[in-house]
Amino acid sequence: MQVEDRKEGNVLVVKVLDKRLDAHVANDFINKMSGYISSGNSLFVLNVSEIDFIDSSGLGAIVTVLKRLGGKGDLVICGARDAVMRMFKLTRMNKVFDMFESEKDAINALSK
Amino acid sequence: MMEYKDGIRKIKFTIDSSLENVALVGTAVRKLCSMVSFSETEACDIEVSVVEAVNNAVKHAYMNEKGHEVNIIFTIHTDRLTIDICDTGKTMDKINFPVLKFDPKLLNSIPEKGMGFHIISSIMDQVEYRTIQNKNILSITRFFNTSDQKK
Repeated sequence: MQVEDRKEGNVLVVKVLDKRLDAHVANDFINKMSGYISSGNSLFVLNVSEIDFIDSSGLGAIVTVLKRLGGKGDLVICGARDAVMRMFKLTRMNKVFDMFESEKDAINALSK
Repeated sequence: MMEYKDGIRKIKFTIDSSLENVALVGTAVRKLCSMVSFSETEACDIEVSVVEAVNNAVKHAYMNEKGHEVNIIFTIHTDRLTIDICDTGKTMDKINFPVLKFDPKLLNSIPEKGMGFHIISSIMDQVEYRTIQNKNILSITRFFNTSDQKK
């Protein structure tokens, strides 16, 4: 799984570069994100704009990362394409995560 | 492999029981769905259903052990598409269709697993599971016009 990251103030923006977040890469994703948490990051914008496919394992992996923050941080989503957004809605994960169209709006929401 | 009989077209894929192969099936299914009266959105949703079903076979029937076959049979009827996902691994007692009840604000209540059959049953019109001569078959069906056929 390929990601790129950059820091915007206290917010770490992580962009997934793969087209799929699925069962095959879910553990790799969790490990990468857990590494960021271990390094002291607690506010995340997850940019999923490159992803065109997500399954329940991918959604579950994002939930796992949120739980690893232990309520001491936050993770918001930006850039979800239609197919990805439908899966968030189908599983009500759009009620769990704040979702933004643009990365800028997502960063601003966490920076308040 | 493709068969054609009595107006019914049937295409069969076989993959080894490894999660890295599941995307191949998903992509093929999406392309096939686009060719048989489904919209791009429907094709994407059906792809997710098939991926969830094949993931389930790999993870739960074969417990992530490689070297076993998962067969995916794509049958195009006049009014519907049925996809059979077949394995010879551990049989499920029954299908659980979990209702995703959780409080989005209560972290511990949010599921990390067990959402696959919820997704399948939400997208597909019929879901059946049977075991015949040690072969487990999960059949998922979507009608071409779901307006009158939905469960």
